[in-house]
Amino acid sequence: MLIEAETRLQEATLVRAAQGGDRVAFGTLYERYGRLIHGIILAHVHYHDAEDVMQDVFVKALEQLHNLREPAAFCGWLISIARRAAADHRRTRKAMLNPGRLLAGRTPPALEPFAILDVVKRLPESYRETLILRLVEGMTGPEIAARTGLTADSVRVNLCRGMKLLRACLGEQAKV
Amino acid sequence: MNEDYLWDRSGEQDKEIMHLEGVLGQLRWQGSWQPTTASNIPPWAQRKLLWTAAAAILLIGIAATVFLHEVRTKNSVTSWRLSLAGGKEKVVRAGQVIETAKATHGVMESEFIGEVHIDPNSRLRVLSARDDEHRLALDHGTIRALIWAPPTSFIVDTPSAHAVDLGCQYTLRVAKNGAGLLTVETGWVAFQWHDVESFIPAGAACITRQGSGPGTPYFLNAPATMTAALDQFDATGSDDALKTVLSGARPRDGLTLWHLLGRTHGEQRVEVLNRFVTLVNLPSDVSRRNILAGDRKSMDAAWDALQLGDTSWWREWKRRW
Repeated sequence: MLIEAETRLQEATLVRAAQGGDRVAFGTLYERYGRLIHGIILAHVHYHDAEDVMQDVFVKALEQLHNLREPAAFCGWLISIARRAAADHRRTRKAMLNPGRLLAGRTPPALEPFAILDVVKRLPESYRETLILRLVEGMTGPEIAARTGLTADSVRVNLCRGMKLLRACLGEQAKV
Repeated sequence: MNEDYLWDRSGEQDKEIMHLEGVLGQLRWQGSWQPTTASNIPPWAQRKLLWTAAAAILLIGIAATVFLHEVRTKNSVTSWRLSLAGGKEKVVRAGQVIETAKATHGVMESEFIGEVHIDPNSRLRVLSARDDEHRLALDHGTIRALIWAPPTSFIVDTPSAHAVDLGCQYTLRVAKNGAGLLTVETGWVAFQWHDVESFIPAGAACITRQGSGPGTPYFLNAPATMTAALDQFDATGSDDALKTVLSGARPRDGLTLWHLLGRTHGEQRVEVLNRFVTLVNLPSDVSRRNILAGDRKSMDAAWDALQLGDTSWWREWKRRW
């Protein structure tokens, strides 16, 4: 509890510094929240677009940071920007229209992670985000709860039920 | 599955989860902050800001057009797509009324919610399509729903009850007089009307009547004499009908008796409990007195003894977060 309060205090200090133009502070926030935001975006958009959308999110955050009155609300605020950006991106369906550019300049991971990620992305949203944060971004349940503002119970339920569904779906796919 | 390992990597390692972590971990974000001294804004942000400025002018024009269009059309587009009689898919708007003719079959699909098949002679309205609640109203007719949206976020109103999806596949029929029948193929559905609730698992059904809401759920393979008596009891509260239900009940019909415990009073509740304990093994720490008093913890324990799934999960679903 004490550590959590201390972490929040540190984050509030970083947000205030970033609002004052301290870009090292903003960089620290970027690195601290990168995995979370990438995971949330990845639950909605194609892997190869996720980093671009993520950068859009941080640009928007940088531009709008002065409007954030309560530094403690930074994480929730950033998550809402990420969800909106991902939804906007989905509507434009950039990735589907131009598949040729997807692999440009990047070394793609093997096909297996994409196949599994595809299955995860067909799960209901609450399971999808939580499982991606846990299995892709490597966050633990308590970390996910602390960062997303969900209760630990909710995250635990999402993880367990999502994992059961994922296992069932992967099993079905293996049969096909 | 080792749930502790899934939660925080404590406890015994789970090979399947470790494999998924290893494979999916290849997609993990690996970026880092690249500080420069030229400006307070990072290079990628500078490029983005230039593009943003150019795009902003264009977007303002587009946004104004879209806004005017939305104002004109009034009702927002939902994620549902409707196909009638195998025809082309069309967008569905909140507030839209879908009516199928005598020989017309319809299908509504949403990648976020699921599939709803609409039988001929049905009237369905799309009430809302918010992120956390997708609500339809079936005025009459039949729908078959296969839902993958998170539990409790898909609701179908009928004239006599609300069907709340708890992660499942089900068929809902509503007659022109407002009475309904819900049959669950997989998962669970909660049928609600004011403070009356029925929980219907796979293989079970529940009738609902205008004015009294959801009746007592029963398994479809329950004895016909029992279900006929149950229907009569739900409608009239008759002692004789209740006796027939209790004498015909099998251990599996503990589901029906558990619901009856919450819907009977006095002597009738005692009779239900007497039969319930002969069919279901109650834990020794659950007292008859507490069950008769309707104590929630004891009722939960009685439910758990049915072995249809722990109460904790559906109580969890009922919580809004």
